[in-house]
Amino acid sequence: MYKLLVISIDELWLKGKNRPAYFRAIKKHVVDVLTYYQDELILIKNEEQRLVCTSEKGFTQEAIGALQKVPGLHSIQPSRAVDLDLEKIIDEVDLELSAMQMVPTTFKVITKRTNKRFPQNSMEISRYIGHLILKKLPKYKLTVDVHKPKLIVSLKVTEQNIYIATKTYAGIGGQPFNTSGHLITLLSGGFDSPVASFLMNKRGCRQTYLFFYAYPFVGQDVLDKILKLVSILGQYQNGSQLYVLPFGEFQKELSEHIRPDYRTLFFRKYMLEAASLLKTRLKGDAIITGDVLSQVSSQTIGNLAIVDQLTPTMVLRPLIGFNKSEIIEISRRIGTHDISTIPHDDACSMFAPKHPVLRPDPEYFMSFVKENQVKYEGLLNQVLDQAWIYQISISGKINKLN
Amino acid sequence: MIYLDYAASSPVKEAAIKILMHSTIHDFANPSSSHQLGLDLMDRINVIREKMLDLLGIKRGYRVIFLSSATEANNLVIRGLSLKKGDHVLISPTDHPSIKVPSYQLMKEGINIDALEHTADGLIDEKLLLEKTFLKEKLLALSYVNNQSGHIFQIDEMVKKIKARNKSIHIHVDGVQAVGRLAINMGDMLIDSLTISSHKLGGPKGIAALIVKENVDLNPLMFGGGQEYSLRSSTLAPPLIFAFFAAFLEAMEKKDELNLKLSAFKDYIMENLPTHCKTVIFPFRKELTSHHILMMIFPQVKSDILMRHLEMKKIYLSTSSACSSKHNKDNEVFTHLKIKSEYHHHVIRLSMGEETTLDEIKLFIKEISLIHLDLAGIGVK
Repeated sequence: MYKLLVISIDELWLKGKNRPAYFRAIKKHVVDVLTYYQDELILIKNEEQRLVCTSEKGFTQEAIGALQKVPGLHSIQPSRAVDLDLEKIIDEVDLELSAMQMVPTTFKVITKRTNKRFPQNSMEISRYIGHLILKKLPKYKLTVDVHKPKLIVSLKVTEQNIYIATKTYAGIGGQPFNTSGHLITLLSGGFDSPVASFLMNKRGCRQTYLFFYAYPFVGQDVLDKILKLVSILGQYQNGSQLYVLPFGEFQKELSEHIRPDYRTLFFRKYMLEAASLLKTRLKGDAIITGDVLSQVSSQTIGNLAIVDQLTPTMVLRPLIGFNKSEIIEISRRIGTHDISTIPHDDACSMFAPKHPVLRPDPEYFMSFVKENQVKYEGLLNQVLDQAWIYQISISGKINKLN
Repeated sequence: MIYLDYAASSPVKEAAIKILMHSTIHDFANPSSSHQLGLDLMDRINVIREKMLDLLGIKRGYRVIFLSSATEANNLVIRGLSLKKGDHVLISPTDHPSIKVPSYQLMKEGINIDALEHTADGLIDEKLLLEKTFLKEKLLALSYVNNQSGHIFQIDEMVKKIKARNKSIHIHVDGVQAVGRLAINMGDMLIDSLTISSHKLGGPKGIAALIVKENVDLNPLMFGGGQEYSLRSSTLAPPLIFAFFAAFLEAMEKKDELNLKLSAFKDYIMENLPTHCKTVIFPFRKELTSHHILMMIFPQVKSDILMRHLEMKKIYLSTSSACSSKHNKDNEVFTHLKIKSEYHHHVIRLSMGEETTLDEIKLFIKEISLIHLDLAGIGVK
């Protein structure tokens, strides 16, 4: 097991004056992840836009996997360190290779030098170490391939050390957690909303999940599915919450008062309204939905536009231009795919008419909303008061709070 | 709370609880021990075996084996009969999984599983059954009362006809829904084994009995201390057995009284529910089914939605469809009971028992009618 991890930060170069704040945010997240997964005190030091983490016991694969979900990290390299002496590198490379079950056939050395006072430049170092590997370690039968190497020996020359790594774990990149606002994420059991949530995690948004639970029209199995989803999504955050709103009675009440072909549209409207109210209560900034343009009839441009006109909060729709196959591809990558495929009841489709409205009549829609503003805002506030709240830990453990 | 799911499990009878508590404290010894405590317990258990056989009208030739559940009893017979490749087994596709699933396991070993057919009434097609009972047929395994629909299998006459054609066939009857509800006189019936469950009769869970002919050669499912004629190695549980027997005894004694009551309740529902809930369908004639089970179809509303709305009113009964109506597959049991595929997600099973009252039935009719009116009005799919 490796006792050293060198973590590179993504997009830090974009930042000017607030760079230290971003660095602090990302360091806190890394510390929290490692504190949870490594049962010991981890030493973390900043080294020229990198975080160098040291463990006595060695870093577990689980901890590295969890770091791969921390927004803002570009990559994680389990590394070995030597002093600023090129001759010391080759023994470490030997150790690296001898630990491999199968040594690849071709390699290349890539050097990054932040220590500009080091006598050789990056090119020279790479060439020299490549030469040493061929000369001193013929037992591995490696040959150089600079275009498509099977193995990359990565060297980082910093002020105090040279770091050697042969494995690079990609992070999800983007912005550090909790640096781009607090959003209310509308979750259903499908493919789209978890992927939308993930994309905004990458952009550094803290999220509170919101689920509209249409019991007794749908059963407990839908809620179980949502809990499984937030358990996975929660690992991309540093502590989060899920609000489960009892929505069956509300949907029924509403259905009794509106034209059947407008049901889905009005459900949308009031779900966004409930999310807005929750946003205000939690002092959040915006709402995330998994809407995809024209995917289903309620996602026509006309329907999205008319609902937006009446929603007082900004609605972010990161998937608006995605194709279904692209969404499914991401869901596989983030681990929500297999949960999203489990069949579930959906109250909206249960109430849905055969022919939902595609080009809504703005006058009817708007006037209904305006005339009933007080009533439904009151009902939605009641629904929010009855919400079940779940806490999701950094590792995805779920705890019901009320 | 209104509990209308007796076919799933019954509240435990007071007599059973008392004995269970007392016996748990005092009868802690192992009935297989050779000291006096053990011997006394075994004597008491053996007396219970005799009494059970007596209450079932059996004079001689059968033994009682205590085991953990009706599922275990059915498995012990179906898997224990050492059937060989090429043998045939007859079952009904409408039957309980504890009969169907072990039979399907046998199929993997080269044993042929033949399916009984049902008439438009949901009854077993007896003509076809007789045609199928040829000599290769080694086992007929069937529930006396179907746990979903309540259909009664007319065992008396059928078994005689079957045995007249094929003497060596083993006839196994799952009596879980029948014992304590129908008049069973095993002495006349020529059946080879019968399963009885404790918790369906108001006894504790975790105990059941297999009544089986002495000359039937069964292989055990478990090996160990050789209890229960080496058919079921496991330490016997005296408190469970005693409490089971208390519930069994009471059920046998009060059977006729209960039947009268439940028959009246069933009439009451079948008469009154349709006046409030016009579209309800009772798919099977009353005289074909046990009085404690009533199947109903609500074509306008899905059964799971109905069930959850009733559950909010603390009224509990069963739907038999898959947990999510998104699973749009047909239900195998319903298909063979000849229930139209479009109704498969609309079936509700109500089942009553000793503690059911007319007031509860009235309240049930009122509540389900209101809920149904409401839901059908909105047009929930």
